[in-house]
Order: sequence, then structure tokens, then C-alpha cells
Amino acid sequence: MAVDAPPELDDATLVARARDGDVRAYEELVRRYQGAMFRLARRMLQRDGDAEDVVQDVFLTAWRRLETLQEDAAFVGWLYRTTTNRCLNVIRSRKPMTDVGLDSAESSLADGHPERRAEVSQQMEALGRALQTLTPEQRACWLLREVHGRSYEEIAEAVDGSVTAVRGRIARARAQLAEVMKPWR
Amino acid sequence: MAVDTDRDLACGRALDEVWDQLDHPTEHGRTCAHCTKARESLLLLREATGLLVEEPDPPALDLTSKIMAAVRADVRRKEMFDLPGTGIDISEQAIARVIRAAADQVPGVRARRCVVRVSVQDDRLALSVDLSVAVAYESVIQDAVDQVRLRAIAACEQRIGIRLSELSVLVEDIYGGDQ
Repeated sequence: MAVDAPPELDDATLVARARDGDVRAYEELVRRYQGAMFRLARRMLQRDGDAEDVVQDVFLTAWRRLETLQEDAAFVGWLYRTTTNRCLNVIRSRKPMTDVGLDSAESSLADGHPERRAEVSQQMEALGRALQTLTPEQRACWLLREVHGRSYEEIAEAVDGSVTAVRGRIARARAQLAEVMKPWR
Repeated sequence: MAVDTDRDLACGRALDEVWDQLDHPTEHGRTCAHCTKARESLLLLREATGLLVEEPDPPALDLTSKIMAAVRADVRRKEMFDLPGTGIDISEQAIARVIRAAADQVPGVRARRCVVRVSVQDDRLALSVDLSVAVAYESVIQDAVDQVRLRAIAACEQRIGIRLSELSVLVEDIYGGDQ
């Protein structure tokens, strides 16, 4: 695709180029990170349509704000922070007691492995349902840490809290998830 | 770090302790019924979490194209000016692309930011350029910078037809090596 942009350039290089208005460099960044942002958003929101809107919005905003991003290497952290914020805002703006479609975020992981499919989908389903019993902030902290491997400091920034509060939320989330995971086996 | 979860176990241990010692339970952890039960749940959770980590993107979704369509619609054309004697417009962005491409041809160099200013000197257009680059770990920086300079000057003259009157190359990062 991109003729004069060799693959596997580091993020900082791509961000610097994108900041100069190089659309192809930005496209490579989008390609690299849209999947992770989408997976975070759909686990936060439980609706693919909402998750898609958030991710598109995040990347368009990022493009417009590249000028103000101080550190080229901080791009990914910025993406995670903004995606988390947008998701929390969407949840806050939802009407209380809205019935969320739990089935919308089912995984296709086990496709092609019939023998594992039942077991995998059972586990994913249990965890997916358990995640929805957490508060949105707990869910965000747990997902960012355990699924996306972000640092406590970064998560604290993303949810506007202290590192101690983040650790507490993750511990409580883990306890609650373990509790809900128990019965099915 | 211990966190009050108010879900601590009947044996007095915190769930966090069980989590921290999941693969290497202590003597107590191996024999205590409460800890063993907690460990089983946590192992299940860890396995299911692994599935979430590896969850592939939904195949039907083409988010990249949708996002890029919005981005391209947003791109504003930068300032345009005449190429001398040709009547052709060229943007500073296009010049930056040419210079970055020239720098990229030097082995072990990755062009980053490229800021182009166009001025008139002695009735002719002249370029003043600030280019930042990342240089490979094993490169000799001075040689790399000299090469970048030569190629950038040549590219401006041959491909754009404007003299590069001023070029500052800033090595702002090293890549490769022990990362």
C-alpha cells in the first residue's frame, strides 16, 4: 500500500511524520492500534455500534490534536486515555437501567476449533457477563491492566484517580470476577 | 501491596496474597481449603482473561478505512506557492515529503519531523528546512547526518528545482540496539 513508507517504523517516527501532515504515516498508526481500542471499547460498552463510534471519534480527534501532543512516544498512552474517557462518558450519558445486549460482544476466537468452541465460549461468556457487574471505573481499570497491560500510572491518568485507588479498584474487580467465575465449573 | 477488598478469606489471608502466589503457593496456601478454593477461581479467571487478551478483531469491521476517510476529508491543504518559471503550485508538505524520502534512503536513518520555510533570496526562491531524524543504534551519527545533508540538497535541486539554502538536521532519537 504505502509505497515510500517502509513497514515497521517505530511509533515515534510515524507520529512525527503524521504531525507534519503525512496521512499515510497516520494510516499506519490507525492500522496498528484501532483493533486494541475497539476491543477495549466494546468490553466497556457492550455494544459494537457504540464502540465503533468511540474509536472513530478518538482517532479523528487524535489526528486533529497531533500538534499539541508533546511527546511523540506518548501517542499510545494518549489513545488509551482518550478511549477510556470517551467510554466512561458514553456510559454516564446512558439512561439508567438500559438493558445492554450481552450477546453483542461474543468472541469468534474458537472459530475453526469445534472441540474447543463450547468451552471457550462458555468461559468468555461468563467473564463477559461478570465484567458487566463491575462499576464502569472498575471495569476500565481491570481491562486496561489485565487485558491491555498498561501501567498503574497510566491507568490512574486515564481514569483521573490515584495509583492507590487504581490498585484498589483492580483488586476489588478481580475478587468480584473470581466470585462470578466460580459457579459454572 | 495489600488492598482492603472486604472479600478476604475466612483463614485471614487476603485474596491479593493468593493472586500474588498463584503459581507458587505457600505451605499454608497448599493446605488451606479456603486458599485452595480461591486459587481455583483465580486460575479460572486468569485463563479466561488470557482469552480476552488474544481475542481477535471482528473481521467484518473495516474501521481503518472509515477512520482514514474522515481524516482525509479533514486534511487542509497547506500554503501553496509557485514553482519558479513553471507556473506549478507545490505545497510545503510535498517538499517535506521529498526531503523525508531522501533522508530515508540513507541506511540507518528514519526521517521524522520536517519543517519547510520558503523565502525569496536574490529574486529566487530558497528553502530553509529543519529536519529531525532517528538514527540506528549502530550508525556513526556524523556520517549519517552528512549523508542526509547531501541527499536532501540533491533531492531539492533535482526533484523540486529550488535551492536548499539552509538545512538543520537534528538527531533526536536512536532506534534498534538493546531496547
